[in-house]
Amino acid sequence: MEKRNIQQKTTGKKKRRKKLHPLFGPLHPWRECPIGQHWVRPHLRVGTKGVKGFCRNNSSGRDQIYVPEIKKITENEFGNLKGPPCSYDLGFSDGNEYDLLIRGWAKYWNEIFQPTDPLDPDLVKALVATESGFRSNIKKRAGKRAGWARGLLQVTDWTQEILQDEEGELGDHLVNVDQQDMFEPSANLAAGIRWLFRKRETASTKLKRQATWEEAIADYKSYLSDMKKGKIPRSMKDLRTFYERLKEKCKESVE
Amino acid sequence: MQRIRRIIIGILCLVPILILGDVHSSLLLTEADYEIESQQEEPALSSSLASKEEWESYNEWHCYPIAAVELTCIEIDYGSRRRTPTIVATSNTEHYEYDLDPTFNWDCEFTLKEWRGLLNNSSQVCFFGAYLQSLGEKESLWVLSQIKSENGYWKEYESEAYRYARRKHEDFESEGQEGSEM
Repeated sequence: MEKRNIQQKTTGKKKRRKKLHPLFGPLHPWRECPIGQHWVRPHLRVGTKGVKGFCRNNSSGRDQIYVPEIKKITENEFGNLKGPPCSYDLGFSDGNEYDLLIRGWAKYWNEIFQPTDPLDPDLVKALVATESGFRSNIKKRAGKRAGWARGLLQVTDWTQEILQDEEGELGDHLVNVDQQDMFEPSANLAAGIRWLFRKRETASTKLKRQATWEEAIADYKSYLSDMKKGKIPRSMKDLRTFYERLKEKCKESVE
Repeated sequence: MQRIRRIIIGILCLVPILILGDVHSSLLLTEADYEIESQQEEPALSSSLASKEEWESYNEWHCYPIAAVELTCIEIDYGSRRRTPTIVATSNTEHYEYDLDPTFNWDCEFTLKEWRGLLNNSSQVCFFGAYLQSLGEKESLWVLSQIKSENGYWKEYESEAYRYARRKHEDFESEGQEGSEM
């Protein structure tokens, strides 16, 4: 055993980052922290002093995004984005309310995963229409295993657990959200779209080929086996209708 | 004679230091503990990549006699106000405050219970944390990762308190609007 003089003048021990190792850079330009760390936003210790924001190692060492950073990205990065989804309300009172968030999170996850055919934000908007009708606080029973489905993309309790499971099927790019967060539109879309990318992987495995985004949505809705048998459930028909309407409407406005 | 007097005076000076904790030596830490400290390849805390002021901080072991340590709850505002566990250690009239990562919604009482169990009947305790900032003259804030006492370790991500903090939301029953299947 070794003795240790423990009371050091440690405040000088902060070391400056010498250079950014390729693996120590950001995962995405919008992210606050190097890969493997999460953002802890500035906060208040009531009665003492404000605490500055900082990056901290993740328990998993992998990419994990938490709600404070989801909010920060939403506030700082989404405002100036342009492009789809089409600004057409599809007949819903809040139909255009979440376009900015859909655009932002579709872009973010497309840039993380870089699929050869990126996820179309119009398809996400059509999915929101079928899942929740753009009602961010909706909650439905999703079954014994799935628990409750919540918010815009009806993210289930079961999905939400998988999204943050460090030992689970996602492997990387975890989204640390809780059930309450799922009523917050930006967190719900960040989590739901991440899950849609996972569903494309699972659909591809089931189909033994690269699944289309529509097939990924069918798996998201647990309708992939019906679709394989040639059955088109109503929710999938609605999805197609909404998607076509968005495409037509924005084509018209361009013309 | 003069030499013996000096030795006696030296011993007399050392006794209050040892009792009050001005200088703490710890037999608690093992080679493996020091290795964890010295072999950190990445900082435990760092500035945001966008920050103009770049800084990094590594975990360090600090050990204290148990009498110099207070386990308590403080209120923080991390989006919403909540009580969170913290540890205040005093040495040489300086206060070292060890907070947990506020990302996780720690249950203060649950965590303190776990910590008290670890510290029970231990004469010393060591904290493995990284410096974050000053809280004022002779007060500094650290972010805690591990605790070691004579009873063993408490490790943040392996603790029951961490699992409890995550589990707390599993039973969450929202006031959300229930709807029928569309």
